[in-house]
Amino acid sequence: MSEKNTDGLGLVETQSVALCHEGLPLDSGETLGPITVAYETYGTLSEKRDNVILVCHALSGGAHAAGWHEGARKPGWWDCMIGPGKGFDTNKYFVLCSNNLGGCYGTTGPSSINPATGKPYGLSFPVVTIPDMVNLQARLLDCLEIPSVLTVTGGSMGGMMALQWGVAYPERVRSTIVIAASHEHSPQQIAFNEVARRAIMADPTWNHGDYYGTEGPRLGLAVARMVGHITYLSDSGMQRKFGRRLQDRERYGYDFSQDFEVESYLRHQGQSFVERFDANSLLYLSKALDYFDLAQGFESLTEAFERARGPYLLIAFSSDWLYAPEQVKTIAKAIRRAGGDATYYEISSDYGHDAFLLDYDRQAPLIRSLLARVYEADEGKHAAANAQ
Amino acid sequence: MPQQTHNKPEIDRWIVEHTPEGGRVLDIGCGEGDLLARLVSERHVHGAGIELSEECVVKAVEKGLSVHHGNAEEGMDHYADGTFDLVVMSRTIQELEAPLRMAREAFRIGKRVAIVFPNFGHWRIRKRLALEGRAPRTRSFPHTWYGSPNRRFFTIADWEGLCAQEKWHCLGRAFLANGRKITVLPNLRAEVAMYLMDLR
Repeated sequence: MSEKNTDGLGLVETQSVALCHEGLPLDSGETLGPITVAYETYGTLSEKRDNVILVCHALSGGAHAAGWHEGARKPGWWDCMIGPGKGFDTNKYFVLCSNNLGGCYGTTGPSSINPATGKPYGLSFPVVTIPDMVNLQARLLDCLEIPSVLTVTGGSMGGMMALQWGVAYPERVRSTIVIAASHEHSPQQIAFNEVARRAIMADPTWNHGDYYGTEGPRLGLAVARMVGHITYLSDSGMQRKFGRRLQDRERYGYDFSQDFEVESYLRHQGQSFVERFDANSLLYLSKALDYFDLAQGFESLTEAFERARGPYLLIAFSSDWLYAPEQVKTIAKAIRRAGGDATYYEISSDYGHDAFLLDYDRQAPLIRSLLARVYEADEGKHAAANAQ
Repeated sequence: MPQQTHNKPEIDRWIVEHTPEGGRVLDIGCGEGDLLARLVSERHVHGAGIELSEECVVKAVEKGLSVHHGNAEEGMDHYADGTFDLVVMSRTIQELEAPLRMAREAFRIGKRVAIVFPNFGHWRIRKRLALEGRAPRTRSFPHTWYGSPNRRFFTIADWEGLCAQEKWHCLGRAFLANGRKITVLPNLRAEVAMYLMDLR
């Protein structure tokens, strides 16, 4: 363990397990199995198995939420929030994070080998949905013998999964923390995803998803990420970060190389994403987001929340226009109209959607308070039951 | 701010006394949640709050409360009719843009409404305006005319007139000056008025 790790979780490892040998029934009508699930855990599972926090990752995240992998330059994607004494305090709680179905970080997805053919699935991988991903996580909890979770949480797509958990498995969820997420994908959100998908599919090297063993659609994937990245920032944040500053030059080039810092930044974001993400996974996961509608199968969003239990903590960011405060408020209203308990908190920030990963020190106190409240209420119930 | 502390112990005690045991309570403009936390511990209520200030919301949530971070109008709209046994507006209504609409909303979502407001009919206010010709500044209205969060300036007589017009039924009322209850000539002598009402 290197010195920089001593105040965090230190070295961690991804584990994996094969599930659904009989197949997981999917929303599309297809069945998928067996499915490998990659996951990480931090902290210690209590004797009563009642201190579990299920963390759901966003579009491009993975099971590696916190701590360090051997030789890595960066810790897990939510290391600022998960660890000893942090928002999700691993001295008290047992944190579990798994890579989502359709992803490319160890859980079965389009880049995995189809056991039936011995080749990568590519586009023969079935289209999966947020409910499918959550159903797979439920199988993982079964496998780990975790009856219910203290809280299920996530930001962005992870927040949508947390919402799905509360409605699909109310008896297994004691509280829900949703950060910068929506109960359904809006036309604008679908539109941006469609541009990203088209960028990949228009790249000839994409080859209808059959590119494994080659370089693949690097240009298309980079453009897709550039589009996505714009939606993660805010206008004022970009103004502050880049302004109209030029990159490595004093005056305009009057050509189509890069002039502005913001161009250079986006290109860098696109290129580095290509090194770490699978283009087909982006297609599948963005489609899963677009299909998401929590009210599906119910008369209304309010009716959907009539099943839900336990308190909700909903966090939004003032400058987030991808999953705007208004959308998060709609969720709060539906929970409250259904008779549920919701705290809505809007953090003023100019980081846009990215604030969910950056403004962690302002989220942590609320998260800590909610967890303590739910955990202590449970302890109280145990004490009362023992007294009787 | 002085306005937050003057007569506060007596106001909070009065609200606690008039809160049904184990009920559901919404505090509009709950601040840091002191009153709500007290209602939770002393009256075992299920408490919720609405609060505009980001710092106050954090403090209230740290007390284990559920809060809506936003304005009264949108916060109340989130709740179905009759959700609460008691809706509290303690020195909030005079700061609202649309006090009548918000009071009606409180009666929609609450079976009972407790409203506390500073009395603009107090003799010191009348004196300052009548004799000195200056915008009043008192313990109940401590702010400068340009820095005050208050938008509405009304008296106990004004309030009773509105109650009659809206057919709000008074279940109990009390008036305070300097932490003591006032019974004689409240519109002249009370700094603060407290009303518990329903629609009958």
